[in-house]
Amino acid sequence: MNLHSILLTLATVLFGFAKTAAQPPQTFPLYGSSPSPIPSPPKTSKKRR
Amino acid sequence: MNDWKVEFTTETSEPTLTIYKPLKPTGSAMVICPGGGYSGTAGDHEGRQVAKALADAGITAFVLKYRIPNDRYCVDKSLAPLQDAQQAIRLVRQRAAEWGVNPNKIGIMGFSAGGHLAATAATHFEQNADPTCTDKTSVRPDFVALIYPVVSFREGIGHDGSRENLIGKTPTLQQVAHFSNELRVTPTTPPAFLVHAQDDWVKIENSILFYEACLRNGVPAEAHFWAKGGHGFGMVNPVNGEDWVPGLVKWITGQ
Repeated sequence: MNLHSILLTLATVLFGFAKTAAQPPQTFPLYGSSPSPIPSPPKTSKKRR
Repeated sequence: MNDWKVEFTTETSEPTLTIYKPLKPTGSAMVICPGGGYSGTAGDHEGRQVAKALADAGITAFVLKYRIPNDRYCVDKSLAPLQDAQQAIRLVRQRAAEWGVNPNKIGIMGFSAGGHLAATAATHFEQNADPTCTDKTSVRPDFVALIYPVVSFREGIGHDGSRENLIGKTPTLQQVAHFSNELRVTPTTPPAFLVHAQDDWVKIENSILFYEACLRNGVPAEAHFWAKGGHGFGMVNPVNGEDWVPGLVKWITGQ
C-alpha cells in the first residue's frame, strides 16, 4: 500500500467517524438557562384539590 | 445476563435536563425518567444508555434528573417530580425549533418509579403541578412509554416503597387514587407503549391495568409482555435477550 492509499484510507475512516459520531450531551438546569448557575427550583406547595 | 452496572444517584434536589442530539433528527423527542423507587435515579442503564440509543435512531433524547421527594426541601414532596416532568416537557416544547424538535412530537418515558412519573405526566397534564406557574405552554406529552412501570398506588398492586417515598406511610384514599394512574386515563391520554415481564416484582398488573384503561378510553396502546425478565434490566431482557428499543423507535416514528 503506497502513501496515497494510506492517506485515502485514513481520511475515509476519519470522515466516516465524523459523520456517525454522536454529539456530546449537554446538561443544563431545568429551571434556568444554560450555562448560568443553577437557580433554586420552585418550592413545592400544598396540593390544591 | 446483561452486564449493566447500576449507577444510583440519591438526594437530587437540583433537577437537570441532559440533551442527546442526533446527527439527523427526525423531529421526535423523548424525555427519559430513570427509575429508583422515588429514592434515587438509575441514571446510566435507565438514562444515558437509552438516550444514546434513541439519539442514534434520530430521536432527540433528554434525560431528566428529577427531584427525589424529600421533606427537607419540599413543602409537599409528592408534587416535586411531576413539577419537574412538566417543566421538562414545557422546556422542550418552548425550545423545539432550537433543538430541531417538532413541538407536537414530544414524548415522555420512564422506568419503574420513573414509569410512574411518566404515567403521571401523561394523565395529569390538565393543570400545572406547580400552582404558582402561570406559563400556558402545554405540558401534555404526545406519547408515553412505560417500561416495567409502577402505575398504581392501590393496595396489592402498586409498589409500596415508591408509594411511601412519594406520598408517605399513611396516605389518604384520595392521595392513593390521585396517583393511581390507571384511574386517571381519559380519551385525551396520549398513546402508550408498555414493556413488562410477568415475573417482575413490580406486578405486571400495573401495565395491564393501564393498558385496559387505554382500551376502554380509545387510547392507542402497544404492549410488550414477556413471561420472564424480572425488573430493572434496562434495554435488554436478560432472560430472552430481546431488545425492546427498536420496537419503541418504530412506534415513535408512527406517532
